[in-house]
Amino acid sequence: MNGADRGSEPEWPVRRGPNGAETNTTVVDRGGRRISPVFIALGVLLLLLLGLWLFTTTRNEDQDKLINPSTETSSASDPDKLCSKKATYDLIKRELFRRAAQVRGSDQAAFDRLSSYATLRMENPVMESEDSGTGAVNCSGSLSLDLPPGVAVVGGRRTVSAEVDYSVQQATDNSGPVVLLRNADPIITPLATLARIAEPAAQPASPDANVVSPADPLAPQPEAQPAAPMAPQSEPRAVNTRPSFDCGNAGTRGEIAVCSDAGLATLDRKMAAQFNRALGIAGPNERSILQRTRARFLSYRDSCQTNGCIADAYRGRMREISDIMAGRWQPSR
Amino acid sequence: MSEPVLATRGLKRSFTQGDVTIEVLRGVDLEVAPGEIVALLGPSGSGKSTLLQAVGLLEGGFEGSIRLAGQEAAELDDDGRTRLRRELLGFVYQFHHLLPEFNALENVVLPQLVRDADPGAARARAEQLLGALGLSQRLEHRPSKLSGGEQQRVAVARALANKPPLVLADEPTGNLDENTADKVLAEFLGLVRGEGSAALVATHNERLAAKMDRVVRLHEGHLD
Repeated sequence: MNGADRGSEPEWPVRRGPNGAETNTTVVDRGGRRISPVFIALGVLLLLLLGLWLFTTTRNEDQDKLINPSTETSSASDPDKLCSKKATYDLIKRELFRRAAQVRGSDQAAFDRLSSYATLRMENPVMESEDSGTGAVNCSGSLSLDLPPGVAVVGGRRTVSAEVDYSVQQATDNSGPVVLLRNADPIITPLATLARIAEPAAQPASPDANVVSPADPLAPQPEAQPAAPMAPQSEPRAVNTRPSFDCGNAGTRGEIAVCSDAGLATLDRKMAAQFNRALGIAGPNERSILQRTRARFLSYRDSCQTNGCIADAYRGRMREISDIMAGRWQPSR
Repeated sequence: MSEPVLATRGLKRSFTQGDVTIEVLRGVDLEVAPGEIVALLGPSGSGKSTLLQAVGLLEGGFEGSIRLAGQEAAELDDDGRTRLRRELLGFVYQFHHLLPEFNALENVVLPQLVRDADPGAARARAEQLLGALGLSQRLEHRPSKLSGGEQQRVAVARALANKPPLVLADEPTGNLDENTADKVLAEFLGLVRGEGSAALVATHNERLAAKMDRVVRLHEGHLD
């Protein structure tokens, strides 16, 4: 502190130390004037009161509550995340097992129990649309269901997969979110054939094993047995804004648009993955149709004037690929 | 006379689009006797598929009575209707709807395992049906590796796998060329007769309908 700046005697009492020097409790403002500690205290008090007022008027009364993920409600502000929530996947898994048990007509309890041990993986979950009337969020994705050891479906398979559509919305009685599944028969029907299979002798569990699987999940279990931890389920992949192709070579209007929009890039990756998967199992006829319709899709996509049009083109193409592989495709479409 | 495997009385179904209500079925009375093969003839859009959806217990929203092997469907809950479908009905659609990740044999074994059949017996039954349809060399092929006619033959075998008293077929050869359609239909009818099942077969084709035991025509929501 430069004493020359003080100029004259202060206008307010100055606390002095035992040696008569000013203590450092006095503050000098930029204009060189000293500010009273009383004013500072009043200022701090005012700030505290202002903060308290803001805190009590803007906070959500539920924000401190622990919310069960399974009862999370649809987030109107970010509905697309609903498509890839673990809670949504849990609902889908339970619904798959519930419907399989219904088709089978027996073993509802065993199917319910198995639901906890199975693992659901969803690749490329995408929000297709949102129904403003019902609040339903319509999604699609590539679903794989891995069954626990000791059980299998027809052919001894322990994984069943399908491209599925699903909607998430609040139950009409407001009891929480519910899931409606479409195109899930390729999973539900085989799942209804679930049966025990002979397994190799169980190996001792590693000490750090974090998933517990019963030797026979279909066997009756005591009520008090703690539930096995839910196997980890796939969460949406890390955000990847790149499409399936090299944006360095983007030339058409559609390619440039896809390279400029993360949502379109996601749709492009999803469609490309589905297309390549389909080509891998397609017969000559399906392969021919897949290739033939690809040119038409690209031509249509590149003629789009808006990103919405491009997104619709991708969704339509994904449905078309599903139809081709399911034998539902018709040339007139 | 034995009890009909299917009997409908006053079956009605309407759809509302905006302010317009379309009455597709306006009171359909139909009986199918055990072992009888009935052609449900009508042009596209006449309501054939809607009628099959109703008697297949695949959709709600209908008025009237549907009795399958004497059981009134309206008196059953969801589980009861599913049980009835599983035990009494087989389905063949215009598009095969086979499960793409499973081979031909597995697609035919699958509905039997749903009914808790012994896996060995289910496999033997599937091989027998597929063999009768000329697919012995195609058992391990996935649907995508089969021709259209072969896919539809697998679908026929799947529908008959559980020896259902009634097979519902919606334009079962509608997706095939005429020559293949004739062959597949002949095989289908031969197999249904051989199994002693009844069938209700929707078609718009008079020539194909004439190959069946009886023809009923759906016209303006009624059976003529």
